[in-house]
Amino acid sequence: MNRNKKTVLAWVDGTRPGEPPAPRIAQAAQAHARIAALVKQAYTQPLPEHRLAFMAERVVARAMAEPPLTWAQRWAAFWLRPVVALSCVAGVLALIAAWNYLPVRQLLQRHAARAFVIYRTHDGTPVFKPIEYQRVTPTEDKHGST
Amino acid sequence: MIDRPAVHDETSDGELVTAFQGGDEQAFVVIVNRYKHRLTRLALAVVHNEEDALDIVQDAFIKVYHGLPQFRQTSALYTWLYRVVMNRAIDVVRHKQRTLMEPVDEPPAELPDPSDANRPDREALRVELRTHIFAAVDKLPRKHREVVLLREVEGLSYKEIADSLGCSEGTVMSRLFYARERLRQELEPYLKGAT
Repeated sequence: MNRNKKTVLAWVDGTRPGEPPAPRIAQAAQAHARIAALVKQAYTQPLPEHRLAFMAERVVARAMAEPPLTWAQRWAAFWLRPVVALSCVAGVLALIAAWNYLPVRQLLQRHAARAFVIYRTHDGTPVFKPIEYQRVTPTEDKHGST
Repeated sequence: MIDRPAVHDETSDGELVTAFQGGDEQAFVVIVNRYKHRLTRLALAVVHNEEDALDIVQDAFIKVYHGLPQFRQTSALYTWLYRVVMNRAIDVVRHKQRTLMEPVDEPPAELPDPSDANRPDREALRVELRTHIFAAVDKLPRKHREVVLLREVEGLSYKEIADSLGCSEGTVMSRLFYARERLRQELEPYLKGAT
């Protein structure tokens, strides 16, 4: 975090008294302090005291009545969450589709392709030469070359 | 019979946890009484609904009750409590937004202020400003909102917030800066008139 931000925070916190910062920083610090005060003020609400009374006793009673979830129950609860379940299903379907309809398989499995050439040397001897190469594209042209 | 020291309001969190782990139920009662106000205020700040806030805090305490026997005290108890309440509260807000059962940003109850009893215009303005502040805070990204609420509402230190959220103090400061900057932009029109 840069020094200006730290300075602004320190001014808002009141931990940086003394010399005023540069006008631009002072302006930002003032605005931030105002925001902080407004938020604090807005969230200062009276608590429902009468409803907080005996909360401990109620919590203990409920906790004893409701035993903690077992590992299996927690697992089931997780999978029952619709968003999680739908996302997982969608993910699996996308993987299946990609595997079947996109050339993923061919890209992943580059087969060694075999071919051969036959030629005649200058003294007329025929030469047969097998070649092995790696297939780099999944498509073949009309001659069967890839 | 095991002779345990009696727990009381001044007993430290660590000692209370140890006492509870040793089978002293009273220790848990002290924990609840110590934190129920702060946690309710925090939950209320997120959900803006008294009923939901109380449910969230109770559920959180029940979770803590079941989890305390395994709590290793590598972190402070309150950071765990804040984490549980914050997560639950944000879940509730998200669930409400999804199901659209009721608007989450409904206008909050007015603050009773006897000095302004004869100034309905000023009171209306204050309520409007408050509604806008809530809406602006609710619009913040989750990570920024958490930091703002823990800092401004709960008054936690950067260190406590960092412990609670599991990040560094620098990250907390950075998020707070950006959150305030964003709030400043959102509330610009209201800042001039606000007192």
